[in-house]
Amino acid sequence: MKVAQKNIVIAESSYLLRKGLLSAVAQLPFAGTITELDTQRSLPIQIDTENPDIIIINPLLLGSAITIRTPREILKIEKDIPVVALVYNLFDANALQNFDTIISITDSLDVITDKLQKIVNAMDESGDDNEDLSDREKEILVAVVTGLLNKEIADQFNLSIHTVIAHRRNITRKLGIHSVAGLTVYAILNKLVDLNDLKVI
Amino acid sequence: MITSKRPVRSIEPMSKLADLIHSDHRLLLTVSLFGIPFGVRDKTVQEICQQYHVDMECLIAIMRLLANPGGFETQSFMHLSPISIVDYLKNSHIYFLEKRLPDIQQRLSEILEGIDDVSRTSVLNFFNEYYKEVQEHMGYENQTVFPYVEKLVKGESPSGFTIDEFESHHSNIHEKLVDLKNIIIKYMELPTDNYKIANVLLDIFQSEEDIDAHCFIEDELLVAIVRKIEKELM
Repeated sequence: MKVAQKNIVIAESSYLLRKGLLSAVAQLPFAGTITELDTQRSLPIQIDTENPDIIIINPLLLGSAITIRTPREILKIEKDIPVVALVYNLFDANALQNFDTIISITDSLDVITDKLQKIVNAMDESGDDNEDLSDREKEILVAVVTGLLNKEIADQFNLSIHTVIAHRRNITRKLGIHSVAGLTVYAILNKLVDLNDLKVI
Repeated sequence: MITSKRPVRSIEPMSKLADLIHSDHRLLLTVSLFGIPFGVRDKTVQEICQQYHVDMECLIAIMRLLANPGGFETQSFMHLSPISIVDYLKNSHIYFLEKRLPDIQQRLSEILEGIDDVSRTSVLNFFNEYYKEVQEHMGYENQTVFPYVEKLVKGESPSGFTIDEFESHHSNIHEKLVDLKNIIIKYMELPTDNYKIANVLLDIFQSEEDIDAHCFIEDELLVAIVRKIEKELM
């Protein structure tokens, strides 16, 4: 598969860290356009203008809402765009769960490359916007619409939470359906679930 | 979010309102929500605003913001009356909740006739759930955010709430509309007149744009102006 260029945006208020990360990311084989966001302006609006494939952001920029909402909700982006946390302060581990991966300030270039490469691989593998879900994706879709949380799905299938999130992202991209309620309709229309399995219908 | 599709002529007090609408039909809804009736002849924005007692600065700001969101200079509209903006937003809420969405719901129900009950119910429930979500979203603004702004303008500084709180909780309410479009376009074979289905879809596409535009006004214009007043009162 050809290496698709990914447009990456970086949101970090420290000039030195931002430039440092920018130069690291620029060396990656899949790096397309890299844009720095102005942290003084509304991030959702800037992200909407840039239309990135990957977002790298200091979670502190998402404000206190990050403890109750996912980064994608706060940034108002589609669920199929990976969001990477850039962390160098103590930060609530629970709040970091909803990021696709975490880059630490102590990571070497190799480690950073490796973490981002994994995300890009996951994007490219499921790649083609083809509706056909893999068997695993169908299982996870059913688990999602029956109301299980990511943590419960991870336990049930013996996967890491990050893997569950990656599967969910792929399901959403393939189907073009973002909400759990919408996925439920899809599952019903395609007879993947029995009505009796659903809590709310 | 909203995108500007073509360069729009500049929106000025002396522009003819009809010309502006021709250059960007998305302004139609804004004009209606300001309570301006059609039949505008060759009147300018200024003349129309005088005739119908509309806050012209506010109308121009919102039209410019919708016509060219990327180039909008929020800083040049910081003197706008937050009350005019709030009134406009309240009207929009009534319109979406009492007219636009119920209308889509009705026509959605019509195009789903003739399919099996389980599928039909699941789609209609999905839309109802969406409607409730919008109702809650707009209800919170009507009951919490707008009264707060109104008090602030009177010089009171109500405690326990700031516009930052609104900004960080202001959720995206177009996601389910996108899902609904995809469900109809990609995953349903309906035994209905295709034109009827296409019309519902067109309406959903347009509603999505209009709701995004509405939220954009709240996020970009209202929040900035209210934050400035908060600072002055502190």
